[in-house]
Amino acid sequence: MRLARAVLAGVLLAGCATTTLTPLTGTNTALEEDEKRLWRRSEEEQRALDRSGLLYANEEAEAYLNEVARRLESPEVFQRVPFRVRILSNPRLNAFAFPNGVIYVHTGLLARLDNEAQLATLLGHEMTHATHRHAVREFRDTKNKRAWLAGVQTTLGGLPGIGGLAGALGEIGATAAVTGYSRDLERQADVEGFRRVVKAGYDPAETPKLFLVLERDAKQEKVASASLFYATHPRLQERRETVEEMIRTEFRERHGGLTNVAVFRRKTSQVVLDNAWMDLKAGRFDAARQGAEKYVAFRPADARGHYLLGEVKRQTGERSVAEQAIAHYRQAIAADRAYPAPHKGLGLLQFQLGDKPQARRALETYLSLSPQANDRAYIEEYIRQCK
Amino acid sequence: MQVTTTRGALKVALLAACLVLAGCVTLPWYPTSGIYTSEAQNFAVELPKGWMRLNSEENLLITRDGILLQHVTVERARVDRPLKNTKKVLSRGMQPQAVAEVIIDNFMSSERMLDLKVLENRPIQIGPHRGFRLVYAHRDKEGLRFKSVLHGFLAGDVFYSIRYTAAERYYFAKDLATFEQVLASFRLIHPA
Repeated sequence: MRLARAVLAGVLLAGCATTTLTPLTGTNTALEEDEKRLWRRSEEEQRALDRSGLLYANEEAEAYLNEVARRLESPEVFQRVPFRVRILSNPRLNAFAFPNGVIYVHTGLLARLDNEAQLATLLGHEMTHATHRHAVREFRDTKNKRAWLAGVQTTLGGLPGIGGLAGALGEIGATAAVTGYSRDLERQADVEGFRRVVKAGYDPAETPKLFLVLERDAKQEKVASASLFYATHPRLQERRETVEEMIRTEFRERHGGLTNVAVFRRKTSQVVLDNAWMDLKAGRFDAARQGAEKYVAFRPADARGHYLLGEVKRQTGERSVAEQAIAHYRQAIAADRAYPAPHKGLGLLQFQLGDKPQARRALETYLSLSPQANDRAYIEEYIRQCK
Repeated sequence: MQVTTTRGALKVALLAACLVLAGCVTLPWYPTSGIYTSEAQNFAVELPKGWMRLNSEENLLITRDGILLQHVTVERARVDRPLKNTKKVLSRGMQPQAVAEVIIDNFMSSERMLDLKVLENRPIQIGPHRGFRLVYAHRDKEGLRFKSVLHGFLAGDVFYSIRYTAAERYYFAKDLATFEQVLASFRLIHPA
């Protein structure tokens, strides 16, 4: 790792060419030598990240994200920058791009979006980082590169909830994912990304809503998770105001456009459910509830959403919401009588509430529906205590 | 280069020895043998011969070949202490299944324990306490696979865990029986 860091520092220190680089969206744009090395290093980092176990396995969702990315740029540019979008299992709101066009989107951010236009805004922003060669520009502009490289990992290791991700990322990924680029480069990514989105026919009014999603999360998490990841970005409100100003001026003639809500929901609903489970495991009950409610709104007849809502309510441990939890479990059971999990949730909750006959009945139903349950020994213990 | 490095290491070792002899520093590791008692942590346990114990006032940690290859820990924490990776909390009087669920969720929410799989999760009795036994496997960011056995229980307001973690290949099976002996010897000095 130390050797790799030294090699990268050497590469960057040697590459003191101009920082005025033409975007890769033009013609006959070749990569410069230090940039080529940066791309090769990015590929190494991506291989490590892909092996890390942090990738979210959902081919349908990933294919959909790549399809949306293809709408944002011409095939010629795709030949120059081979964009590829991947999803990381991580409930925190983030996305980042490597200089070679490989983009990673966290399940947490994907799950918070409402439609394809917002997704396009996110991808347009990240694609601009790659086409406008922000990584190499940032590295060349960093005066003390060695100190900077060492600092990135030191800073990341100490951040709660992302220490592991930081460990899995190399310096290039870490810059893109956490420390971000300079204020000017981030603004350029916002502005140029927004232009791609509008050019592709998406509704411009959806773009500021992406920033609202991040602002809401920052407020909800109190620790300002969004500003944690966008630490060097312009403040979220300022970024939102920039695109709102573009709507009033540059795109004032443009009204409406694509949002593709139905297809977006169909392709990402599983992400919403899985991410809500991650939020619940991490004890972020509000975020888990919002995710579960969103999933139920998408798929009201699916027992899994109602069961998750029941679990969110039960696991808060608050008696005041016990009745709501029971109602959600019953809805889940009504939606799918053969689904064992809500019977268990119902039984555990009724045990907590002291209703032992009901608890016993629900837990016995759970075991009859799931005779090989891996928590059978616990459930039998509960049933014994109910007798 | 090699000579310089060796000489440098010798100088450091000599300096360290002088400091230890002068009583300026304490050794980080002690050889284990016999009963280990921690009044502060309220437990006693018999440690295997030939292992090394980390010299720490806090949790007990022993290893034979190095902590990355295998180690046993005994840890205690008050239930009101926040967990590292989840905002879920333990509370006095929780059922063992509920405690195990919180502990698993804490592991699942860690980005350092990748590809975590719970292989076994069942209730057990630890002395007079109702507890749980977890067997789980995970990978670290370098791709190394580890396997662990964790016995946990609540005693009043305190959560105790006795855990064995080892490299899944070769080491886990090799020292599992030793861990089971450590486990069998574990007792609270003042039961809650």
